[in-house]
Amino acid sequence: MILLMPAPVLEVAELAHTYPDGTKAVQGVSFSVEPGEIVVIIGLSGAGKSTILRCINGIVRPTKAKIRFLDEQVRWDYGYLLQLRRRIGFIFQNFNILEKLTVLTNVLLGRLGVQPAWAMPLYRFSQRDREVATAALAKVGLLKEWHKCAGELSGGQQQRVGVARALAQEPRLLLADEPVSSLDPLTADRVLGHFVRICREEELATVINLHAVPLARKYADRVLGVRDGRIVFEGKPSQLELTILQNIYGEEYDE
Amino acid sequence: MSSLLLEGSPKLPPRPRSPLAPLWASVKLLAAAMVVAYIVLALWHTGFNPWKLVEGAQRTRGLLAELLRPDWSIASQLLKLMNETVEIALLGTLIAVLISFPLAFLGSKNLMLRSAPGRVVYFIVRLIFNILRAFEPVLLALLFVIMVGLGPFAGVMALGIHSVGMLGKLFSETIEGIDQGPVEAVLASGGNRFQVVWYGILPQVAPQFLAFSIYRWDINIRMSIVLGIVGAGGIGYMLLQYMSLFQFGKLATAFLIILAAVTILDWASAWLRTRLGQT
Ligand SMILES: Nc1ncnc2c1ncn2[C@@H]1O[C@H](COP(=O)(O)OP(=O)(O)OP(=O)(O)O)[C@@H](O)[C@H]1O
Ligand SMILES: [Mg+2]
Repeated sequence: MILLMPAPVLEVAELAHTYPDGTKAVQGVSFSVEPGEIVVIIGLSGAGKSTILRCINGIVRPTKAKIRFLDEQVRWDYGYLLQLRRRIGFIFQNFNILEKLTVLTNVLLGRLGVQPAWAMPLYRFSQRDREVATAALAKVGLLKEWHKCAGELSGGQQQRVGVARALAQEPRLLLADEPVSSLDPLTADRVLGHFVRICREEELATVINLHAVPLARKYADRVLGVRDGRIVFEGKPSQLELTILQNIYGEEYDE
Repeated sequence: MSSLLLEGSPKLPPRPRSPLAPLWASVKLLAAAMVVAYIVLALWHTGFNPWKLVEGAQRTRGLLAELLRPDWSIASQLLKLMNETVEIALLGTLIAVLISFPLAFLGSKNLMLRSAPGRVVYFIVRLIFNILRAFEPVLLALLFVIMVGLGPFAGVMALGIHSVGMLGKLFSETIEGIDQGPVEAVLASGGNRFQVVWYGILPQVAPQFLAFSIYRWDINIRMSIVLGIVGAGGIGYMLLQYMSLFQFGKLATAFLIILAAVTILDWASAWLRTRLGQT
């Protein structure tokens, strides 16, 4: 039975982070994510959701944590972090694409980790890198737009560029920090649905921070409820009853 | 609203005054008196006298009239020198851009203030920018004339060094104004330090860098005319020569060529810069 259990891609244990100004953003968070699993983190603004994700890929160096990624102990030296980040795709609330560059070049940025040094100053990428980027563009349905300035696209399309850039890394883990919060509700649902479908197809371990409970219900395999930097709920989306949501969001919460 | 005045008329409470107020008032008065005195002194020292303009114009009417009869026989020679002036400015600007480009990253707060060695480098680079800006280009030109002799090369070097001050400052401030989002995105996809600069920052600042460089070239063209007067190449030197030889017809030709060239290039640079989305 134990042999049939897939090994988790990510294991976070006792993650804690205190910002230099003394804010205790995360306090003793532990969870793990398996291949093909969609874990959604919900919680109030300021609960520490972003900090958790940013600690996992080392953009923020946690005050204290034991993190295992693909059965390796995560360290925080420069060389290891480069190796770690190129295997973890990250999707941002504000897309964080380069508006002056073409859609294709933006997606190719997902290949920076394997770009040879001589090609770096020239914005050149290998044939294989271009093929991977093209495949990623096809996955998000932006093949036709490849030559456009990324800044000219609509918000929904820009976030799909962000998703394609993360996919181009051929990652083992995807982290998405409120990926659809700056889109209108209908587009948000469509973009997120498309994203989740890709993650399942590719059997990617995925962690998504979300504001909206309905979206969490619809797309999560497992939900983590975070309050004041601690996990106060872990379970199936079907278990998200009113009392539990009130525990996560506060007494005033109602549907 | 008229009812506002019916409830007894309120008085403004007295303005809070520090006990030193009378002292300050007399200090201000003294400062004002000193400024006025210095202006009077300056008028006296500079022999400021509008009447001289009228008198002088009458006395030199014949010479001034020559300015209206440009001597076109030397036009082609002057055009060549004007071209040299533009070239001096171009090379000077290019050198300045090559030097200030890497320095600008080392002189920007958002990239450097995170670590102690970074802060030291930042401070030194900003100091260099300020010192270079303080060096008048004419002084630099004289220095380079002594070092490499009369001629355009001295002008190129003077402009090249002086312009680093302004370009470096403008480039650094542009870098400080970038959106950190894309930088974080490049970091998050495993980009190293150089890739962060080259892919996360450069696309955001390149249009402005180009616009500032063109603007600086524009300024340098005018500056290089002045540098020519102290012997650093280009058309400027001829101005001095024609003046001292009282060849006002030739001087007029030089004036017109400079006026035309500067106007056209000014206009071209403004047009280019608006195309780059900058004014
Ligand atoms: N760079 C920082 N320096 C200091 N405090 C910070 C910093 N970033 C976040 N914080 C604080 O840490 C806490 C958690 O922030 P975090 O951004 O992780 O929350 P979040 O759940 O992602 O909120 P949101 O839904 O608003 O994105 C907040 O109190 C926030 O003010
Ligand atoms: Mg957040």
